[in-house]
Amino acid sequence: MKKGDRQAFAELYERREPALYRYALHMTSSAASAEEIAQEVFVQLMSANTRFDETRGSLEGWMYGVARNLIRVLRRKGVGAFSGEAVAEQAFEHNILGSLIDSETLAALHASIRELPDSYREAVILCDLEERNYDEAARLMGCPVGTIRSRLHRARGLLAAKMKRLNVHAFAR
Amino acid sequence: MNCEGNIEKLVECARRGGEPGNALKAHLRTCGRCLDRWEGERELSANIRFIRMESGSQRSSAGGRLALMREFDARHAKVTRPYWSPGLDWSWGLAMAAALLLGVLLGPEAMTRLQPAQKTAVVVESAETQADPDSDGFIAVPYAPPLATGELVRIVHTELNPAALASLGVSVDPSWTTQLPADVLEGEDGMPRAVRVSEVDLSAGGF
Repeated sequence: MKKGDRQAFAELYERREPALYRYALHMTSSAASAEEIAQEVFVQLMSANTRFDETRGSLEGWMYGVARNLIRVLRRKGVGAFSGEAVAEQAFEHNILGSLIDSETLAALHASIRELPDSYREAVILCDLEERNYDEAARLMGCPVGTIRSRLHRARGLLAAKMKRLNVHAFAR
Repeated sequence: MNCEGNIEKLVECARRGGEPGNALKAHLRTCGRCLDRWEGERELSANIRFIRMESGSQRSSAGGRLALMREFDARHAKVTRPYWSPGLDWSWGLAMAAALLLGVLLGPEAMTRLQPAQKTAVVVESAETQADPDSDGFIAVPYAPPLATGELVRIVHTELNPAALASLGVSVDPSWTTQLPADVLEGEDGMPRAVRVSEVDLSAGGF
């Protein structure tokens, strides 16, 4: 790809971009910011002076690292602040499942996930929303497996308690 | 096992959508705290599953992909410029320097002799020509850019003084003053690429 293989670049984009976009979407709560971040990661990847070093880790780990840094930059600039309703609306826009469950429940859960500390939220996004196993999530986040596991368990504890307080019981209705 | 250990198992169980084992079930019957957590985890997992299903197909717009591929094409086009592009490649500068050197060494008189010289067109048949400029007795001009496969070259029959030939790498005595017949191989850009002494036996007659 570094040698200008268009096909390889296109395949890499098809394979990695969706998950990267969703990660950015969940982290920023903004479709526009998520798209900007996902695109920028690939722009940086194609740059001649890209700092990716395959001896230091996987390409995917590097891409998530770039995305994480871009998210921090956007946050410092105050970009990406967005309402939980907007995520829920976007999520249900084209899916009939949206009519089958209480959108308020999901909006509340979205809001609760958004309020988690970054490290906890990343664990929820990667392990629960993207269904990565602990090894993969740890590799992408650049931390030990045990750390990811404990972050996820704590995050879920916070979410469960928050949802209980909000008395949101999607399937009890 | 204490409650903390049980809760870890319950969380993993809820994430997988499974049921706790008999030991855990027995514990849940006697521990209200763990039972609460178990119910909360199950509900959380169900809701997360819905979010996952709904957001699983989301990705950037097609326009974004198109713009990115255009960017890739643009950057790639810049990278794959011809390697002898003027102003962008060091070999071009060296070739110019070699040509200048040749001009200075040959002098105005010799250069005027070059102009009416007989020229023969030859097409480079393979890339091996670049690697073996000494074929047919030609000696590569130092620092000249290599010939491309299929590039049209010309052989200029002329006369050069021994000093000029020596500076181009031809083994002659530089003190020799007689002009020597020589063939200069030029690329399509007019730059000399190789030179040879023609119709003279270098092993005899003062060399």
